[in-house]
Amino acid sequence: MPEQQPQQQQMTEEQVKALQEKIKNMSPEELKEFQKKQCIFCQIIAGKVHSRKIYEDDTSLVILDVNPANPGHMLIMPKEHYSIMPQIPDSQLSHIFSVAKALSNAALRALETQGSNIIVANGVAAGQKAQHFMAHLIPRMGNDGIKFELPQKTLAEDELKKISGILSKALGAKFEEKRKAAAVPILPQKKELGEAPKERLPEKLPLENKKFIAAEFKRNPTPPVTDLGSGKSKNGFSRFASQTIARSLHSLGRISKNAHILNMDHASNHQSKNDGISAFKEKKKATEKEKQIPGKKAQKGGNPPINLDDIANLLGKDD
Amino acid sequence: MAKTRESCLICQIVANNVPSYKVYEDEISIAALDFNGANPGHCFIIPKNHYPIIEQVPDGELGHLFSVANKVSSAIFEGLKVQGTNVFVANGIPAGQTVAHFMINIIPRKENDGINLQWSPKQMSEEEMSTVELKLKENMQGMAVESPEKKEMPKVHAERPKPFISDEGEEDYFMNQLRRIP
Repeated sequence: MPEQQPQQQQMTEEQVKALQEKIKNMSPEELKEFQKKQCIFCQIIAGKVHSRKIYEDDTSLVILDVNPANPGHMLIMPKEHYSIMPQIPDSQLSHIFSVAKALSNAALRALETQGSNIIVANGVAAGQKAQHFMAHLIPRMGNDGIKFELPQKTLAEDELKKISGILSKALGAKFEEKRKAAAVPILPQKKELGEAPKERLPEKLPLENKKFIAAEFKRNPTPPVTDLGSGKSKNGFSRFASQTIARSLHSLGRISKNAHILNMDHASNHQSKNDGISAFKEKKKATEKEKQIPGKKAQKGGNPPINLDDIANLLGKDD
Repeated sequence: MAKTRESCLICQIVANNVPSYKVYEDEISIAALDFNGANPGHCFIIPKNHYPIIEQVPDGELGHLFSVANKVSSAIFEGLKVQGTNVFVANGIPAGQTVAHFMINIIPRKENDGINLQWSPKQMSEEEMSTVELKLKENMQGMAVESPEKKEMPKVHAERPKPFISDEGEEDYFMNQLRRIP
């Protein structure tokens, strides 16, 4: 009836406007759900609409086309809603086409066909009819009535060069973006944080000797070596250092393991040994005497012990 | 080295024995312009190894080829400002395969450009549909397609830094020992 039709048209226009306003106010999550409700293939994936499923896994689904070009015409689609190919991540896309390869193989054996076509349509001009991305797998036989007309148009060299330049630039940029996205951040090197100050002893000595020498220095602190240049031996040790080392090591009555470092002969060892022993014994006696004196405490370090009698005498003198 | 065949024209392109307008190249694949294409900008993507049909292409290489095809398709769409693209694979002579080397065609599309990739649907009865469904299901049961997480994609780029190993490890230990001396 003519009266009802304009009313219906008005209703649809109002509905369209209302829908447009709704879509503008929707969040991306709500938009996705709205798309899923509108998309018949999402309904098929959800199981709400009947279909003939051939293969299904976590990420993709394969069904028979209701309007087939040939028996066995299948649609391979991702379970997630993507409209066009550039939106699909590489891993999912490669999986879809691996499934397509397996299906082509299955169709060859099951239906005794002689070939297959895989077609993807991106955009309405390319023949895309549904909003959900899918790949068509069409099994082919000779004289099956299907004709895909791909004309052959020869192009001039100038045009070919121009087009190849545009495409190679665009592809180079795309693959650079992919490389940057895949690049792993480089860890900061230790040098950037600042090197810790190195505290080194002036001479390189083995660990055991160093400990002993350190202990010896504590007992008998020696004045700092100011003039190293003249006193340097072949090894690079100062004469003073090598003498102290020799004394401390040989006083124990044993030959140093690193005699070769100290550049000392066996004969000289004996000489220094005697000297070393005698000097050490004297020192030992002196310390023992100090310890034996009553009322006086043995002092650590090398400071001379305080003589209270002397101090008393001094005080007495002042008076 | 890629497995090539002297009789195959596409393998000659891979080996640079024949001139071509290459648009992209890496270790596994080449994308080049078709001289006698259906539309200006018609590209094909080929594996460097010689595979006649899709069933012989390994999954890893196939996935890489289609990811390159995806990039070429979007580059054509943006660079040449067309209205759509078709991804077309002809597998077998009845399907229109002219060269015995697997290739993926990316065809730029505009309205009324004279290319017909449409088909008239065939009427099939419910019985015929269900027999086809059963046959295909039987043959797919033996096939196990790996999930996208488990697959190893061919690594063409992405450099990782070498792990940092201190050269002064021994000396540091030595110095620490010395510092412990009271």
